Amino acid sequence: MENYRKTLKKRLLMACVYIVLLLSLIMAGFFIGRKYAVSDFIAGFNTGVCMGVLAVMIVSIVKYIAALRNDAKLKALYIYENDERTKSLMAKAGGTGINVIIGSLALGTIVSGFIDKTVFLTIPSSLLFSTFVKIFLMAYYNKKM
Amino acid sequence: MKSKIQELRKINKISQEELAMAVGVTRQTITSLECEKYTASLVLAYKIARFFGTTIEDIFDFSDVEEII
Repeated sequence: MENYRKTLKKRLLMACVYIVLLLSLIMAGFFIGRKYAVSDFIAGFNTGVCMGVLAVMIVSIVKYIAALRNDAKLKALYIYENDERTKSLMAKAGGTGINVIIGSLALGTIVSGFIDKTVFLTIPSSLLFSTFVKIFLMAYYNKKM
Repeated sequence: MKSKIQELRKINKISQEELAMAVGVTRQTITSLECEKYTASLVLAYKIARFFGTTIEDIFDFSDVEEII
């Protein structure tokens, strides 16, 4: 459990670094981004994403501090994060999920050909990227296991 | 995979939550094991067996596996 305590402390530090980075991005977006963004909607969307990640970081920090101060909460969090059934569930969902994404993108590529040229070029790019990620991860875990 | 976890829990008057905390998994994992929806890893099977002071073979039914072999 001591190792997990150290991991949480490292995560706390990283969360603080992320918060500083996100706040800088939000400020930059507010003062500079609006001037250069393609539209107000995109500038607002980017700020919204940053605010969302910021909220997640703050919740994580609160959770980690509570766990570091209370041994029972620390053990509960450790079990929650390391439960083997949850890990197996995530692995299965992730594996199936990427196959569904690749299949949907392949279908989307065909459909988009009838709609718009830009979309037709964007979807196959996403399809190639997703396939590349899957192949890369399979090769990586093949060597690791 | 069939197991005697529920039976042993009742004999020893232990709740799912208590067993889960002792072996380092969530209560849902114990429920899934008892309902035969999930097969425990070797490490978890060992921890459960050690918790009840018995062997893995005494808790888990490997007859299905033997049939395949």
